[in-house]
Amino acid sequence: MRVDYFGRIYDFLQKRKLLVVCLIIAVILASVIGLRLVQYNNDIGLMLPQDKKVQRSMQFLREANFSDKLVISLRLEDPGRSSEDLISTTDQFSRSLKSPLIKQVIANVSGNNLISEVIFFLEYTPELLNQESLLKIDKQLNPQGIKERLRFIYRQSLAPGSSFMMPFLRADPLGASNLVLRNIEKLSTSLGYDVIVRNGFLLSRDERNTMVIIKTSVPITEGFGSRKLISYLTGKFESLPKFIKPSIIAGHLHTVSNEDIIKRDILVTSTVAGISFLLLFLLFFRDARAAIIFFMPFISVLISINIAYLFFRNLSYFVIGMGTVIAGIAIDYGIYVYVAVRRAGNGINTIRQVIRPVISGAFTTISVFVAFFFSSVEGYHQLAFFSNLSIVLCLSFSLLILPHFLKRKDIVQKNVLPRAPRLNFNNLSFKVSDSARIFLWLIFISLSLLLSVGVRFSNDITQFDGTSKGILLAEEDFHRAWGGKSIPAVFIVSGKTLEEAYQLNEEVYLEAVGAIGEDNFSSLSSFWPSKKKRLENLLRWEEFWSKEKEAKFKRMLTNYGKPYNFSQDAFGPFFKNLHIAGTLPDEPDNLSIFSNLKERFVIKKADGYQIVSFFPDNDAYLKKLSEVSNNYSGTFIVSRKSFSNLVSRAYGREMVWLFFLAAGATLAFTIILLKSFRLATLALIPVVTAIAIIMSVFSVFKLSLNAPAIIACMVVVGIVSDYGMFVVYYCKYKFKTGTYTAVAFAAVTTLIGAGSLLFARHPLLFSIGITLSTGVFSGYIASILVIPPLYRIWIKERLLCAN
Amino acid sequence: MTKKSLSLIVCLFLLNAPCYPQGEVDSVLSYLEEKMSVVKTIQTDFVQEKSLAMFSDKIVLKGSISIQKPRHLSWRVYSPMRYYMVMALNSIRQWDEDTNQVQQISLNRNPSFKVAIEQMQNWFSGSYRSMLTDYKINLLSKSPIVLEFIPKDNSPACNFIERVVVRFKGDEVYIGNISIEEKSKDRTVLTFINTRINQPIDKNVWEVGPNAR
Repeated sequence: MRVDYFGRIYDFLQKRKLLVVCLIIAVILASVIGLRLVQYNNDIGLMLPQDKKVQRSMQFLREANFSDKLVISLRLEDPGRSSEDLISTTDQFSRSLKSPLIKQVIANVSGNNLISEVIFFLEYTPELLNQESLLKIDKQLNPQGIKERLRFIYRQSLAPGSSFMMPFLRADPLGASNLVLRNIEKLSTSLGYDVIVRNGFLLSRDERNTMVIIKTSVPITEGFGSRKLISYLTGKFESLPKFIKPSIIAGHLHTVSNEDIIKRDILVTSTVAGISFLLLFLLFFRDARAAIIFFMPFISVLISINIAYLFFRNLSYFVIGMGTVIAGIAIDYGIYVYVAVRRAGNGINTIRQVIRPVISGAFTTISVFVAFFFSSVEGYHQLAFFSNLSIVLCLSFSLLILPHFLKRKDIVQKNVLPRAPRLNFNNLSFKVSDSARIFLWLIFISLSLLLSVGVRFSNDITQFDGTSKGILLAEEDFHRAWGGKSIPAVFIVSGKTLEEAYQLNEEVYLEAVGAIGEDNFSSLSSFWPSKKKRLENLLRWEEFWSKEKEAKFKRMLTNYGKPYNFSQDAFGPFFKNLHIAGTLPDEPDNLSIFSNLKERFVIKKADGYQIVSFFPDNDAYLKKLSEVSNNYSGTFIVSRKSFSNLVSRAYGREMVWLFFLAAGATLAFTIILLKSFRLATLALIPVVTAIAIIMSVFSVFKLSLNAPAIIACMVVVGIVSDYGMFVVYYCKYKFKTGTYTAVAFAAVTTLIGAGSLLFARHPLLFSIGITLSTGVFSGYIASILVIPPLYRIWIKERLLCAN
Repeated sequence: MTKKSLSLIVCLFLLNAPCYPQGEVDSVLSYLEEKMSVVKTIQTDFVQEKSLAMFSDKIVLKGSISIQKPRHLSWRVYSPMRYYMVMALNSIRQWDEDTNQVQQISLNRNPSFKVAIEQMQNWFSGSYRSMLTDYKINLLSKSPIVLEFIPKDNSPACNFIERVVVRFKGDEVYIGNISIEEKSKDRTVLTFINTRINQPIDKNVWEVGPNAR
């Protein structure tokens, strides 16, 4: 005996309406309170596939030394003011920055001991010069070579501004350390910023900008901390004089801006959708109770956010941004039930007539979102959970609770039928034959598919960034003043110990330089080799500078220096330091010139060390260095270009698999629920039409199809298959439950939800809005224009023949 | 005389050296700046005496300097060896008779050299107010004007310069000599003779090479 569970629950709730209302109000209040406690995450990593390479790149970017830095650029706006005013303001401003969020403020790069530091560092020259360099020195150690060198030194002393050269010439008469000096200079400028140092302050070339670097404890992806930090800094800007224009250049600003834009988008889209929904219901239904349909999806979304947060603890803003779309989908079930009850009363029999198509429609939509659980993207898991929960809640409200508040008596007394748009094209005054309609549809679909050929997929990772134009313009200004716009790619080597990382870095350096040239690869290895290598160099140096060779060199300097009157002690510093290297500390960490470079190139991690090298981010170098990387385990490359390609490939794999999974699930559910292949084929006509039209619109308007747009396509599949299902049910059973009106309202409400995304500023939400609007509109039109004639020709006639 | 008493005498002597309040320094700098603001070109011969630890004897250079505002400088040494250097905006061309080759250097790529050249140009052109960022300026004498420049901590010059003393000629038309004392105890005195202000400069001055005069 079949137990009528639905009937029992329906009756149970009908008898306890007050309790139900109280319970719902309590849940809503709890959800509103809970909403204030929910923490959102703007981390782009949540929306990226769990591909090993993609995640490794993301992890590197999060942990890299530069991710904890902000740059403040202070620009002198008043032409009457001098760079001295700018420097003094920068000094005062940087001293005023005191916050627990700020670890260090670097406004003044101490140039105090720069030259003495470099001279001290040159004491390490014996450890840094390889055999090739010693051969070059050997070639100079003859009368001709020494004479030339001494003449060169003499000429240098005649040049203006020779003072700063003298200490170097005395400490290194042979110019042996030129290579070391060149490498220090090359590495110091490898970030590509065009900086001059004045009184220790970093000035742009035009001397109208100063730079202040801030190290913070706030991770770049942490929205709350970023907001606090940016707010602290902008507060400090208020104390700056009028002639200074400050700007912040930092990933943190992007985090805050993205959050602001998504929040603004959510507010705008919700308001637009809310007002439109309310107007639509109140104007067409002219029934205050219709507002219940409007509130149901929002209540469902509200509850779902809280429950989803309890599960994931870390909700993506992007997922929440989809809230209005989900509301637009979930509202459909309430509409079907409302229209049916208005037409046929709120008896259980009316509900039984709509329950099948409503649940079938919900199941196909749920099946699409279930497919997202099979994705490796954590954000999609959240989307699937959040969407399905909202749909299930809204479905339950629609079938079990809504009918009890729509009394038949009210409807009969008022004798008001919904004044919904009667979009039944069968009633048009001009008649188009069924065959002609199908023929026109086939031509339309063929044309759309032809136009779709030009559609292109965008893999640019920056499309996920909805940062405001103001910030992007400030960044443009910054790069105009300071240069450094082209971000280099990074070659990373890892080691359990620093020495292991140094050794691997050394091996990679030799191969990388062979592949793309010395000038294109900025590596710490070019001036600071591993300890093993340095010891080898030192032994070679000691062997080279034997007592005899040293004495011979000294003699030659004295003899050949006489014509120029070189003093006895002219090159004393060189001989004093000739054999000192072995007694020096292992690494000159006390020299800021060394420690600053080391900090930029070496990353200390919990499980070891990473050493980074920089090279221009272009395809040719990426290809060559990827080959080098493939030869060494523990190495990898992070570049904006390759990252986009990695994400694109990973997404590509995911999308194809997910799309087929969702489409397959929709097809299977449709066949199972309709119990007929032919009916299922008819129900899927809106799906085919919607996909063809979306593709052609993207192609014609030269829009780039991106991963979120493909997700939106999958959502369209779920939505328009519902329309197909309802119209097929109507064609088959002819229940007087206002199917066409309900489908029309469902489409209009979904279009309002999706269309409101067209007001979004965030590029992703906008892209989703375009896809959903186009797909839902074309799917709706196909469901009411194409399914009925096809049903009449393909199924009804066959049934008649069979009868 | 012991070393201690000698130091005491030197200290007492230094204490007696006049030092004017900052207000007077500012007014002298403004006066000089105003006077130099009408100067568009400077041509002068010079004698430079270098006492460098690297050499046993003084090196004495004789040559000429030409300055045309903005940012044009020609430095020509005629003895002991011909050496010409011309700076125009951000690049330098130099030639010497020893190598007989013209060398071009971008100042943007040689920041240290740029600092040295720019400082030198500042000394010669009298734009001392702009040097307040890098130097503490003392007024040692008002007539004739003698200014002392001591590099501030963190300025590029503090790495190698102890102090610079600029002595103006009695008529205050131009600098009489500049004395540079370095941390290495090297010392340079540059004496200007036959100075001409705002006179047209021969185009040939901006050329370098064996045929340039």
